Amino acid sequence: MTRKAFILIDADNFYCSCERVWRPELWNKPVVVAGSGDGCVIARSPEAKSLGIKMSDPVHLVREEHWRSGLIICSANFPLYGDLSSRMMRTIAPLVPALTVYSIDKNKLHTVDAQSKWGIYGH
Amino acid sequence: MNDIAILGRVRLELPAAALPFFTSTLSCGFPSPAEDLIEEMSSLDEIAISNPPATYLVRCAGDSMIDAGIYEGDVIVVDRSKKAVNRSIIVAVFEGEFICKRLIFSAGSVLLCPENNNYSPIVIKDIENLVVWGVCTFNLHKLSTI
Repeated sequence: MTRKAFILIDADNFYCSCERVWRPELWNKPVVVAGSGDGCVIARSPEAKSLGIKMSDPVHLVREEHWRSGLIICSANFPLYGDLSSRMMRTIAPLVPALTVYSIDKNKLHTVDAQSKWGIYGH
Repeated sequence: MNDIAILGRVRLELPAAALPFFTSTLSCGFPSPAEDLIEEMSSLDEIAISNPPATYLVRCAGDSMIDAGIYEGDVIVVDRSKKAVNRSIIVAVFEGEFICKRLIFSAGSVLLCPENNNYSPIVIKDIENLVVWGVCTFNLHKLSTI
């Protein structure tokens, strides 16, 4: 009997983490990424979460309420996130027999049988 | 200070067109006659990049690393998956700035050393303040100014 194991990988605060790769001034600061034409919050650093900022909060309200706490608002930079996501998937891919990319920061590893050569699926 | 600038993404796949790779060691005196020793097809990516998903190209500014052969405007290949060891040339984040320096462990202290006698080494007093961002593996230096 083949026993299957599935692992779900979800990168922490992915868009905020991406912004931080090249911007040390964002490290350890409350950071949110704004999407939809800077309309709403689509990612929050742990520091921003502890300020009580929620996903999809309107950016203008968040800015008004938290600018004194040094909140940094980044406009979404999807080419950057796509590049880093691709690097993450390519780092994981050789380690497992199969990998399903579920979204830009989530995937599922199939650790079933190291001999099987399953393809890598993405959408 | 050697500041660095982001150049953009590294192509993750090897290009289709490859360059011939000669196995003869080039003597800088006169050309080797053994140019029929083409061993395999190679590419610049293959030579300079061992782990593409972890590799970034950055452009250097400043003159603090000239004795290591890194000049203003050179493009360095940075591998974030490599472990920095004593004497590695690294891209570090120190006091919120990206810098390129040689990492030296010496008598219990950690130094970020410039390769230019006009500059002094940075002594890292609190190792918590130092982040090794990546290890520099290659330098692309333009030889011709034309």
